[in-house]
Amino acid sequence: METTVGSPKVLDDALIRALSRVNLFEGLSRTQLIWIINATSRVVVDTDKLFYDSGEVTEVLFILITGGVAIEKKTKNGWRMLGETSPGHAFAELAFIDSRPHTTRARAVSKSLALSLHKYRLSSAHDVSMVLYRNIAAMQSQRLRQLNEIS
Amino acid sequence: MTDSRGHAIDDSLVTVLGKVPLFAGLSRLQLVFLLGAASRVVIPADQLFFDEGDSADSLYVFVAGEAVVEKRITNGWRLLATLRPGQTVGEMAVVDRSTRSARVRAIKSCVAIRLDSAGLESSQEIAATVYRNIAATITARVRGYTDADDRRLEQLSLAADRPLGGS
Repeated sequence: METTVGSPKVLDDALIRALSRVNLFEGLSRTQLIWIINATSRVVVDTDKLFYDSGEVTEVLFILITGGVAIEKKTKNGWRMLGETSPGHAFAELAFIDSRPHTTRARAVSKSLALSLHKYRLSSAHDVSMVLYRNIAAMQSQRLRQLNEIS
Repeated sequence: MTDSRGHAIDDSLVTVLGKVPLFAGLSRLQLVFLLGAASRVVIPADQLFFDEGDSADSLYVFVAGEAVVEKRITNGWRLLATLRPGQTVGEMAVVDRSTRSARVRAIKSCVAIRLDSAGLESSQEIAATVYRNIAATITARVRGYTDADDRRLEQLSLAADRPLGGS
């Protein structure tokens, strides 16, 4: 995983527009999205390289900007893909919330660019963290309701 | 002790809230603020806190009494859980604002604290902590499924037609 040095200083309008379409950022103002951009690092991962591996602890939320990421779980027969993340979606939100080791790995299926937001950055922005945590909770809630229906 | 509006606050209620996992990390002052934004409800035995299908925007913290969570089935109601003082119900509704997926019925006269999202968000700092705690609670339940049977997640991925966010 290659991390660019520091935070992006040049505010890219296209990036702000891309973030405004991320469902986890729904409800954030343009100013708050700019705060997100400045609080994140840009991460570039080559094809077949990992954003994180199973067992690692990262406390980082990734927002995919370009490329594609496969979420895979280790089984006795090898790695089984649970889903593929496309640009505009966030991943690693479970470990971001509970700080537990990843139970899956995230592998770039093509050269990918993502923003990474570390949990500690949110403690200084209550307005942003309120919206982001509410959206993550809502997303997990929807997932749990679906799991309850399936079971 | 008084809240931000000058209303008297029952110190024992602050102590009850302080033991609720959803409010972990809040100071006593923040709990007093939260109580000022909440309302106290009394539900007689056999009456409903809310019914299955009701629109929802609030959570309840049980202070006294006993209630049951029940879900409608073909031939009646199935008991899902029994609620006692210190327990909460409805936290998923506060974040996703969907309809109630089950009803909650008092089996003894109950006292509870009702907190809606508007009251909660009257302090962004408090709301951020509570939403993070709610997210952690729900995440633990989601992980419970994956630990028990990760094939369910695969089914969910197909059902939801969206990629899973990963761990």
